Amino acid sequence: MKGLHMQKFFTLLLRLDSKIDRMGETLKDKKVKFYPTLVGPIVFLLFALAAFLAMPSQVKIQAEGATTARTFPTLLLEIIVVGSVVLLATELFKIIRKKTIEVQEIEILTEIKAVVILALLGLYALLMPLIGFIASSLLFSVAMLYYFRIKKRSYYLIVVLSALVIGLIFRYLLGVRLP
Amino acid sequence: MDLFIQGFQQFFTLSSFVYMNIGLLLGLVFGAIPGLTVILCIVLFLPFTYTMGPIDSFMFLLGIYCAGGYGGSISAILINTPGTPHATATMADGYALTKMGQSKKALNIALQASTFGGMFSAFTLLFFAPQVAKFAQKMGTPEYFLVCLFGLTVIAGVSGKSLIKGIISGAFGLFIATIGLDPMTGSTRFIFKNINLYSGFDLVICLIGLFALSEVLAKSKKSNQVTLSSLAEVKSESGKISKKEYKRMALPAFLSAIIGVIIGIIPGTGASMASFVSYDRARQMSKHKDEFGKGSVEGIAAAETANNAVTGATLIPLLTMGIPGDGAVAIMLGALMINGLTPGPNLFAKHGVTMYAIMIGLIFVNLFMYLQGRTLTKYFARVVSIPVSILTPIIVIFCFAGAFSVNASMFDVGVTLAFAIIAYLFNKLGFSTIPVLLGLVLGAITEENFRRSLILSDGSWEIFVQSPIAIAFLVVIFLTVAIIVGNKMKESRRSM
Repeated sequence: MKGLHMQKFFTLLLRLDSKIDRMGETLKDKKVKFYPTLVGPIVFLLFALAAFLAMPSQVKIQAEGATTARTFPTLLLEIIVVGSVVLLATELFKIIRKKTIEVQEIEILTEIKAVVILALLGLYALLMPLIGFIASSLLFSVAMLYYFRIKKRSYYLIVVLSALVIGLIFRYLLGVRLP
Repeated sequence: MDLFIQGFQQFFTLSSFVYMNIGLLLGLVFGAIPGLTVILCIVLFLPFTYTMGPIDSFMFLLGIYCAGGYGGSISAILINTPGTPHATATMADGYALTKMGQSKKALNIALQASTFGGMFSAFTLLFFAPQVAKFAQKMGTPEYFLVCLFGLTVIAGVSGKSLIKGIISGAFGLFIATIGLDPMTGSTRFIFKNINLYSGFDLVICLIGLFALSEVLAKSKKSNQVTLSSLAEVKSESGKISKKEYKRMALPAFLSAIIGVIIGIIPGTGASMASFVSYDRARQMSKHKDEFGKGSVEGIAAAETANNAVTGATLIPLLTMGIPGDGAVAIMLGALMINGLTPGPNLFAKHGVTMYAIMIGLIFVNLFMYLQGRTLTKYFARVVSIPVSILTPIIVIFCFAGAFSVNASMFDVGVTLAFAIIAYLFNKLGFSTIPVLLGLVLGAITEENFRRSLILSDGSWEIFVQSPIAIAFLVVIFLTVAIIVGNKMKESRRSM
């Protein structure tokens, strides 16, 4: 009975494997154009704008003086705004004069991989307080190796042992109360 | 002299030597594996220094920092892939020697040159730092703000192609450092009623996200395997360097040590610039110019001496004024702060013995680096072949355990993840994260001195140009930025 379940599990894994492979093949050469020199300053401008809007409610000042709690953050946000405007203006000037601006081609597959790794990291962080540091680390390390399509069993053994050792070092040598 | 003797006594303990050697071992391993960096190693193991004293933690971190410089050359020589960016200058000649079946000789030259450079730099630090510290004690609040600003000029050197982008990143880091309680008025800033943010973001947690976890996200692009070529050959040759070769290497190594020290003192320059400048100088002076790039012993000696000669020199502004010379040293500044040693002009006056202990320790760090390199290089040749796919989950587990251990809080683990995403986006948008690090490290002291100065002057900015020291600093800041930007413009013109 147990063997049947294991067989089913491995068949499922193999199916998942081939599905991921097929998806990878489809997305392999798909790219999206992206203008970092335009997007970057816009992102920072939006960040500065949001921080400026939040300032009155988030930074209370007690009395007006030569400097207040708002002085330094305001100065920094102004630097960000000026820098972003200069960058943006330079790029717009290039566009108006029909000069080439930096274009990056983003590989969709690479970005999806990054999102998957991020999801695994998030899952690891969520599981940590629920099932404990060592158990979640073991699950995470195995999931990461599977994600990297590692077939060698020795790699799994090394990583699992490392997870155990790290957990024990932090708990007993450094005295950290891990979840 | 008293401080020197007391410093020596404080340093000369078993624990200093143990931690130093562990640090050296880790630095060699992380330096040798392409894809892993010295900064990553320092960040990952920073939580371990919480339980150590200031001297032990500094010995541990200096071990990583110095050995990382040499470790980078191992993979550059053996597999034509520099383990660290500053080993790039070593790569052409080192790998050429490997192809000629002389990899052990190349590794020996790199080790001896690195040790010489490191030693030269350590003695320079021991001699010059106390003199600089005496000068630093004469500074007032406005001058110290300008010192912080000088520290931030590192941004000019680490901004990549665009200085403006570097300034924006630096301002972002400084802004993040303002989150939490305002140290002067006690008002809360941008905490959004979250109790965990009262004391702001912990430096170590931000660093783990910015430099360690972000590397894991970047692995989505990089290949997981390291290609190997000639590892088997390392054991089979003697690796002996002839007297004639020593003679040829002596002058370039000595000049490179001086170049490395000078470049190391200037914030924002760093080991890569030192190794390339020295390599170029050695090539111009050599009688065997045609050998450069094809297995020149002088080339390897020049590049490796210079990049390790930077290590002690970057500590001069750090230990005397609290200015980090590069990213790795900025993290070490964090280690000083963790141990209650506030960086600034009074660091030497208040903690002179500790400072001397650290400086003396650096000499021993280099000595033990040589001994470890001599005995373990043949094993490190194997280390370069560890697949990144094994290391990635181990790094993540380290990161999460380290982030959690700072305050025993899951909130910090979330913060680390958030900073990893920020670093990933910065990278995509072409913004460097090193200026963010500098902003985070220098944020509190920069703001404090800036605001104190303005309070003293009743809001007038003229206070920053009133004393001769302040004017001198402004000139130095301007010159440093001009030199770095000028060099970058030259480089980009050359590459066009």
